[in-house]
Amino acid sequence: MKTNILDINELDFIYPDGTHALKKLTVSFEEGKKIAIVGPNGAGKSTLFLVLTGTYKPSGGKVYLADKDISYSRKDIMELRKNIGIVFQDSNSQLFSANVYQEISFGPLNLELSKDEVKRRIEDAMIKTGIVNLKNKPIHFLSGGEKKRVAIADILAMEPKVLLLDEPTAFIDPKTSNELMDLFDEINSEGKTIVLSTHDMDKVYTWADYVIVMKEGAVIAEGVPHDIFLNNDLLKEADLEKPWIIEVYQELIKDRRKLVTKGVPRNKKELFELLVQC
Amino acid sequence: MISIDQYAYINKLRNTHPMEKFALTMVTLIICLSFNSWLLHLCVITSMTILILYGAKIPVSVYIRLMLIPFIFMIFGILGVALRVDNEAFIMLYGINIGEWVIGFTMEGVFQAFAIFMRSYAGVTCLYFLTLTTPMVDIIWILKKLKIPAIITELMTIVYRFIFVLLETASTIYISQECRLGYTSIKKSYYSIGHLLTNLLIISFVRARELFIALSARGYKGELVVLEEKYKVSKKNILFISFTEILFLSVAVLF
Repeated sequence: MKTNILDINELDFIYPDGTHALKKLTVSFEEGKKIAIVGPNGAGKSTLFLVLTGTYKPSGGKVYLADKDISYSRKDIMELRKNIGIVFQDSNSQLFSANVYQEISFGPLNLELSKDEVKRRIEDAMIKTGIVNLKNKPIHFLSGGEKKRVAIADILAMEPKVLLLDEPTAFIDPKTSNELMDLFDEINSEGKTIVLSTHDMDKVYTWADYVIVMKEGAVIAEGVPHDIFLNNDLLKEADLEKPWIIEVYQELIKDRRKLVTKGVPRNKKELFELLVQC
Repeated sequence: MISIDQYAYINKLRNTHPMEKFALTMVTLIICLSFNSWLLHLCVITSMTILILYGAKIPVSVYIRLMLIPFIFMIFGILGVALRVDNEAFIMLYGINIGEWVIGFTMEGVFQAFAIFMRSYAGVTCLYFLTLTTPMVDIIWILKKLKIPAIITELMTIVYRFIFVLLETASTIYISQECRLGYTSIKKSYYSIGHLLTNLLIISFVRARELFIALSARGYKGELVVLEEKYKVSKKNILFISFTEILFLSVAVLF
């Protein structure tokens, strides 16, 4: 049976300067899924994340966390933050301590856990993100990719049910960003819901279970990746780039009717198998 | 400044208990300032230098460069003490006559200057020992253990972290201005540096806001609670520190 960890109903958010960032946004995140939110800059992706972590109070609409109505009272905001963790795009604005160990301990300590439990979670998060060897290095010696790993460990140590990642692979080299995507898979396999926003359609296509397309503060489409990326009109409307696998596939099936029945390739491997059959 | 910070993390005494290093520094410093014995100060300079060069394995060239920084300030300070203007030339060791006045050094002045010089350098080496072997994070940890108010230690934590973020931002802006010929004349330089500084101020505010948001998302309730790792107390070190301090004290009292 499918259950939703988050239900967002007609959410409105207006910034103090009058920018209408979210307009009657309605969307649901299914528990345990890998969800990608795509859309041009200024579509409201980051604002949505900040509303979901209780930083901004919605101007209208409802948020339900596992069917519980979130009223944005102090208590409810704490509840949101316990369950939803966010990794910010710029690690420099998230990391406040010069020491990796202290930095990671901050979140779990705020959850009022015992010291032993906090220690266990720090060790666990450092092993998962592969930063055990950075333990004694100051943060200002780390590279961008290493800082990103620390920022992710920060949130992992809080063991949230939902992990929001705001453009986690921006400014990160291809090798590290692939390793990060594998890490997200691993975290997801433990039953955590992962929601990431990105502009990298090739990654979204092979990685995500479900894609949500946002434009001008609203969700204009959602569905499984190949439904979204085969829809030319939608891609044009949302200014999205077509993943190269889909592009090659569409070129391939142009005058080869028999290949259509095989289904759309999900990744490089499936595409190459299809190529062999041509 | 950056190079001291870097050595603080990579020196060989990095993992020694911070309180031991702090105790050695502070007790020695207090002894140095309480006694006016140049022999004591010489002993302190020698032992601290040995600790820095052989204990912490700080390169000699770096250490010499660091020691030269206070030297320049000290020269001017000491000249003021050693030089004397008088109209009786016979008390001078060496003097230049200007009319009926003599500017020069007296025995007493030179000795006083030498004592001040030694005492200052003894203090400087003590503090260099602490800063070169103990990272800021550990120094903040010491202050917390000494029950310094949380507001001060938390501010230090954040200021220390963001000094580097700000430096990075400043250098990015500087490079981007330089690439667009922003520093090719004095007038342009003033203009560019003005913009750099105003921008930095604005960026600092934005950073502060972002940090607050990020901390809040992790359950910040007005207190920066963090967990620190435990350091090992070494009996050997404590014995060594006690022995050294007793030695310094005896030199100070006996000579």
